[in-house]
Amino acid sequence: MIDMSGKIRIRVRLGDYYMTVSEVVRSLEIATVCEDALCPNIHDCWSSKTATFMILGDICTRGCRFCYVKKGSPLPPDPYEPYKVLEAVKRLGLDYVTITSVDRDDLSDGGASQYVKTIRLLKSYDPSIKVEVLIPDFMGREDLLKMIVDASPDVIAHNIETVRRLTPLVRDRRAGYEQSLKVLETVKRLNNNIITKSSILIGFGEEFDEIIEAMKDLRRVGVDILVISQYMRPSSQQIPVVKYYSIEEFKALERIGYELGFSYVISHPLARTSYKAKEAYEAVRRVRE
Amino acid sequence: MIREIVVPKDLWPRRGDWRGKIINIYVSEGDKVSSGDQLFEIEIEKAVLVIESEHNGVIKKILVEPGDDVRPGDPVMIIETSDD
Repeated sequence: MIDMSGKIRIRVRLGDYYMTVSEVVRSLEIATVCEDALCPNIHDCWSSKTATFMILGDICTRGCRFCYVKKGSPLPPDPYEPYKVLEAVKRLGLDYVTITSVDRDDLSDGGASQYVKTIRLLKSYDPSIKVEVLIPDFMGREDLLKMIVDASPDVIAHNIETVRRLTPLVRDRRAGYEQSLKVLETVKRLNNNIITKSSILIGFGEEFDEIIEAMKDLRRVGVDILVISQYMRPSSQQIPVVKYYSIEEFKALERIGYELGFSYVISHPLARTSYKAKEAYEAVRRVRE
Repeated sequence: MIREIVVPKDLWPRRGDWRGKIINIYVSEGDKVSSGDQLFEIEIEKAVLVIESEHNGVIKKILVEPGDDVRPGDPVMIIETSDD
């Protein structure tokens, strides 16, 4: 529900499942993007006993202007982190695991090997577990993207975040619109079977036509799942919201997304990359079969 | 049992650095409430949090007013619960 100011209203009653997730991730000391991004869906997701794990620590080397994740100089990667993720998956009984990370421009492999270890560990524990990773751009390096692709996650997501014109305003200067398109294109070229996904946040001041252009660009590089969602300013430290879009506008974008050929489109103010990820994955599998 | 109702500090458990403002209080001192009833609203930069009761009981004391700035863990109400 959206109130008069355009802000989302979140009903909060922390029940048993919520507290179970909270206890598991805290006791194992695994970061979650649900917390670190002040995700508005945390109540919904944790109450359904699901979470998105954030590997490679909780401090990002980049300074995107919409993001609430802590920025600075991160600690060295925790060698036990993949095992902690596995333990959390066991304790929560997850059969669909979503993993993301901070950007690690300080590491020679950008953190790719930690992704690989985590994916392989989960798959070796139970090959039927589906793994979705939301990756950084790895500076566009094909060798690092190949490492991720070769670990065979079921879905690889990488977010374009905004339209071409606003990319320098919204994202860190080391990120780039073309670079993100190249990441998604490279993943598909390396393994056409891997489902790809990308998200656009809207509300930064983009024109409607610019959103359509970004959608076309994502389709051109073979993206299967498109997520469009409302930017919500986490705190006064991030850039302001220029526009709150109506549900009707989100529905119109969803319709256009399907017309452009995406296999699955989630277009909703509260949608986030990992939101209802399993449903999106299963829908694409059905389209392919 | 007498319990304190606080601004939820476990909503984003390890990010206690968010701040908000009480914008609505739906109950008065002496009101009977049930689990799930809406108690009060906090506006934060990102959203409006509608806080629901976790217990059945009677509101004994309200410690804040609309417009008050709050942070996670701040006491908001005292409730005498009847379900534990």
